[in-house]
Amino acid sequence: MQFNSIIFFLSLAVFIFLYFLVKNKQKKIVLLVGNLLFYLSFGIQGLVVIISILVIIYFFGIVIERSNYNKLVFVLGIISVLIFLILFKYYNFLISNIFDSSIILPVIKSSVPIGLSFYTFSSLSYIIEVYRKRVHAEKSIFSLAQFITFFPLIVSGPIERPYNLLPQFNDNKDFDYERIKSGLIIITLGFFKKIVIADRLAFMVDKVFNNPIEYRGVALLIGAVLFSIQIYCDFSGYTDIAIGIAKILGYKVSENFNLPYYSKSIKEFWTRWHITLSSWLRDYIFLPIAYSITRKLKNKPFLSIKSEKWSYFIGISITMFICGLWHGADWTFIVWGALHAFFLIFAFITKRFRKKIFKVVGLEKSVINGFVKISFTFILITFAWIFFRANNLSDALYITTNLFGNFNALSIMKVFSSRNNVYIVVSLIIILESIHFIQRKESILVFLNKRPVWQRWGIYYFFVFVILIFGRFDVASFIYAKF
Amino acid sequence: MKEQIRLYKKLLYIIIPVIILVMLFEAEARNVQNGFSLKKSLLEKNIENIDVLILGSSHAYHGIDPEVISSKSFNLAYYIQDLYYDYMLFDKYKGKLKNLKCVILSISYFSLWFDLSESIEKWKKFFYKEYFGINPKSNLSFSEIIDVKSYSFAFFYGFENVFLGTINPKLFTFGCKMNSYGWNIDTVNCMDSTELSFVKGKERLDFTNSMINNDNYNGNIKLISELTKYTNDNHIKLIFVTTPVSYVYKYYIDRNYYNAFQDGINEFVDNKNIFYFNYFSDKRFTINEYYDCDHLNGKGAIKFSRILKDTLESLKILK
Repeated sequence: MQFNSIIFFLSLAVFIFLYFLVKNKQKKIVLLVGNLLFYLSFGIQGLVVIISILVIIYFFGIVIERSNYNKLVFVLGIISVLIFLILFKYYNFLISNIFDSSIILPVIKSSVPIGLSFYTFSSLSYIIEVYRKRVHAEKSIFSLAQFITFFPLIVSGPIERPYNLLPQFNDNKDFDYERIKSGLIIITLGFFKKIVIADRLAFMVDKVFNNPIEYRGVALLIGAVLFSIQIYCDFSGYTDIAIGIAKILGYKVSENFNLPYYSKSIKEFWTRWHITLSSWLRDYIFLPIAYSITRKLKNKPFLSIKSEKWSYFIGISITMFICGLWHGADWTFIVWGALHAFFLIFAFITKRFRKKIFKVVGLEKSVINGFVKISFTFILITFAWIFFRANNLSDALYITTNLFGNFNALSIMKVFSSRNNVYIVVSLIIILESIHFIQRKESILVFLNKRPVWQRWGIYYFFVFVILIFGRFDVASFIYAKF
Repeated sequence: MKEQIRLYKKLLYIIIPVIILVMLFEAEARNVQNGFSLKKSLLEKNIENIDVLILGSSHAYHGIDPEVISSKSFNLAYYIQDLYYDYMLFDKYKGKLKNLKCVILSISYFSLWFDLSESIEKWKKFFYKEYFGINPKSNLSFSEIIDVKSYSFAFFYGFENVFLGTINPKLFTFGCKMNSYGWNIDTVNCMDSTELSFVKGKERLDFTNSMINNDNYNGNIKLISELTKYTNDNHIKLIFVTTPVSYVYKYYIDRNYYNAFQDGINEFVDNKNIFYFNYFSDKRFTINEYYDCDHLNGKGAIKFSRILKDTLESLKILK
């Protein structure tokens, strides 16, 4: 049951009505039943997996505390959770790519349970935080079940930390008009991004990426740029819907996007894109590796390179490799991660040099400084997205090596299908950028609250009608749902 | 509770205009002319004078220009129209076709095993019901029953298309490119097929083969029997025709199905009232006379229609 399906919408309306009908104590039960039913709608296999993971982290949380934070118990807990991810997501990839083909190993034929990567990371986060003593092990498996199965976040995050979300399950969730109104506005914005922009662009992007050989030059370039916009609108649209639903239910969940394409560097991009994943990777992968290398090198240079550089290079390389792999068991994702690692390391090495260049050409204090940096960062991100979206590495290589040349209108029309579509896409991007322009200064909710009633309602009607008229209601799944 | 009522009230401010807008769009969508409404109005306009009626799928819709055959003929074939709808359309109008002398039924390689309601274009059932009052062959599935597109034109076309069509009718046309004889004039504009290849032929054949279901054979044969019985009883000539296809398409056909299809049709042929002319492998047609792998373009259709007319005249089927 996807967020953008009519059946979900109707079920949600009934659920919210019931949720606020019952008393606060009973809300937990209603929510848990809702969580489980929602996940069950994707199939029984996923429910079995998530309940297994829940029991494992509940058990290990308590055992870690009782064993006085024994490292071996902690490692066992991590491995026990990771086994599910490895089995369902990486096992087939590993046996087909790494092991010798003469060794015949059975192939797992079942599909990856939806949202597995997301709730596995939340579960790992719980075990790590218990071990780090930032949270106490949950004594009630029902509270922990709320955290792991919380339905707005289960499919595609945000990946919540236990110390942020767990305490919220104990708070009273009264009906609050302003909070629910805000939630509905955020959901509307999410639907605009997802079903109006992302799903429209998906049609064009799929044409190019599913059959790249038929396109050359500018058509491929347009396909790549449109994918950058599509994946942003798809994922941030999903996140907006998730945040909005959680808000209606009385939960404050972490933001996952902060205008990522306005980043002035790749490093900044990773503080604005999929924030809950990047901060997870930073806290649980990058920083521990970086600290351990620095400690091992005792702050002394190795091969004439400072220890802090070594820790950054190795830390970033491993982190981005895992980041790529997290998205899927495919070489395209691994190359995508590797490209980002390369961009980050290259930027780290050339930081002073680039600063000098900017100074020499007089761009350092120029007004176009920001524009140049944002544009260049966007180009690098878009280039890397080609590997992320391509069906295989040879397609990605074809696209990247045929991006330029053949600038004719016919090839553009082949991507867009019709002139109307060009006008509509451009208009929608202008609307999206107008939203971003506002968001650079203040949140949409603050902006709307400052407007007089007629303007506010005008904006509501505008977006509802745009979604109704230009939305794609044929329930395209969310890109990140498959991760 | 007060706060809840306040929220519901505000939600109504959104929901009511949305419902009004949807109704306006539905009304507008029902006015949009489509291939079915146009075909119906063209057919009914001169139905009493029609002497040759052409039935079949897109192969006939693209490939047979009625004007070449007879000035009083009409092409009632349409995209992916199966034998059930051919028969039901004929059954619906047979009483009004008072001048009818000849029925040309285009039979394609897959026709005897094909059922529209099993294909990706099963949504067309909605249009046959809406414009011709023809009930679907089988009951709607649960997913079709709960699908709003089974009832609403606005949802079917998409609000965007209705919106664009309202601004400028040229921006949204739905299968209306046909002349007053019911023939697809779109083919006239696609004279050359430069992209024909064995890859395309294989793709097209794979699509065609995906529509074949052995369970449909007996039902389709029964429909043809009903049709032949009526035409025989009413002294109407029934001509089965298989239109030419390109070699890239023909190359991949399943010979077993092809032979079974030939046998199935030839069972009905008596060469007195019922004839079968098979142009499937006709070498008189060049690659430039195809719209795609298995459809003739305008040039090919006119050439084919002349050949067909000459054949019918030489056998004195048409005078």
